[in-house]
Amino acid sequence: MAATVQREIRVSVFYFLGLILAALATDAVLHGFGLVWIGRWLGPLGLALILFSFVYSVRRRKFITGGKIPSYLRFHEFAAWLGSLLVLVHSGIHFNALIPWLATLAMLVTTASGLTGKFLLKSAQFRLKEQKAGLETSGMTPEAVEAELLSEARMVEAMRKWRVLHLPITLSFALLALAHLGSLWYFG
Amino acid sequence: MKAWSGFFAVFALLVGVVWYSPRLAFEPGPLSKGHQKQSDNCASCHVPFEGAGRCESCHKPKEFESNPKLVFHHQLAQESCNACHKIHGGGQPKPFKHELLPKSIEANCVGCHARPNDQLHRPLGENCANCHHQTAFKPAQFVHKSLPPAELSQCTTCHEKPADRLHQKLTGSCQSCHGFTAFKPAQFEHDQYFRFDRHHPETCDNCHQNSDYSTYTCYGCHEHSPGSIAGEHREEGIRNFEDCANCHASGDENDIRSRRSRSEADYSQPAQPSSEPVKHSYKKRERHSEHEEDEDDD
Repeated sequence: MAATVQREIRVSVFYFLGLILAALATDAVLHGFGLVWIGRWLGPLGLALILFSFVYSVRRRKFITGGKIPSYLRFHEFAAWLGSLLVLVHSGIHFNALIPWLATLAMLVTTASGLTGKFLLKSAQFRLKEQKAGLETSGMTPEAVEAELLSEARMVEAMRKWRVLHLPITLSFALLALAHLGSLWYFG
Repeated sequence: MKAWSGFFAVFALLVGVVWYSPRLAFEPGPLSKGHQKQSDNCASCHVPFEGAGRCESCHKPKEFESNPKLVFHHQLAQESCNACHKIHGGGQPKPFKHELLPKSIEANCVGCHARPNDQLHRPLGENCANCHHQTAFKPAQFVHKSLPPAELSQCTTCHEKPADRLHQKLTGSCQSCHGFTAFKPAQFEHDQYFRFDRHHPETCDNCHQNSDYSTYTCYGCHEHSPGSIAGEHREEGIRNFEDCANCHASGDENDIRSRRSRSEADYSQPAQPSSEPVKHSYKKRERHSEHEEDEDDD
């Protein structure tokens, strides 16, 4: 069990560091080929990807019904990560206005929070699988196993707590991104 | 509610920063030197929801008319100062785009740029685009066609004459052998016509009299007199022997080019030795021979 948890932690750290390294590499390529102007347009593109990734939330809340929720979740993880990468390249290494930098920071915190949620979910799934196998070998009926697993409160509680935190973190990012967009709209 | 405290803290931070210093919150880099007086008044340049378009409230178009270096501004196809001038952020200004100019102004380079006053540029015409790109003066690719015809033949004004034995003896036009794009490859290879050896050195005037490379004669030295050459060839039954290099590829009398290149007429038509130089064209001997062969077939 401990080995699995450690592996999931490594995966989350890999995704987060990979995001930063990929942004630095893309930035270097754009500078190397004199294509810095592309960075300007990666911002709107990244934001569009992030917004589109919320189709998962829409599906989870049953505003739409087609498709399996785990598939939507995988799309949410992928599109949000890629969108964050594009926004990170867009922000560049330019320390000028404070609001865009706070927005970038909030985006990174949101990404880290998302990866934490991914880790918690994977750990919970593994723990469930392990417990289910244990209960089944103990001779319990399938109905009794299901009932036992439903009563496993620890994992449910961890995920619930995480969701409670992830939403305001995401909205903080959205607020700062909106302020940045608003300033662009106002000042031109 | 506790979880939302972070969100409210961010909101409070946002409002606080914007209220305390809008510049700190939104300014995308420091203003350029000439605009720093406007640092506390964004609205002096920015029109809300329209962008930074108030340049003319300070910069009067009349200023441009009196300055020859700025007068082209009136001709710009795009009336956006920001297309070229970077007001925020410092660093390098945006590169000027010549495409913003109408074609008539774009073609008149010396209207804005001073012509270099060096030996290379002085005789050139005004079509700078022959050699230079619009993005930068260098690198440029020199095009000889830019030179007036009189200058075009004066190669040594710009190019140093090669110090090898062959070139030092030449006095004719470089263009006889060399093209305008590169020194090598040169079109002329003497070995195709006649190979030099110690008895036949690269002393051009021995064979090409008066530096006329369209003709040559082998009677320029004491070894080959018209009488002795005529006698030797008539012994062999050869009647047409005026164009020596047509048969003799080098000074070795046995180094004879293919007999196929020689027509029957060489043997049948009687010829008198002449001390007149042989006129020839700079075509490869092989091709010349094939041509003669075709004529024989006809």
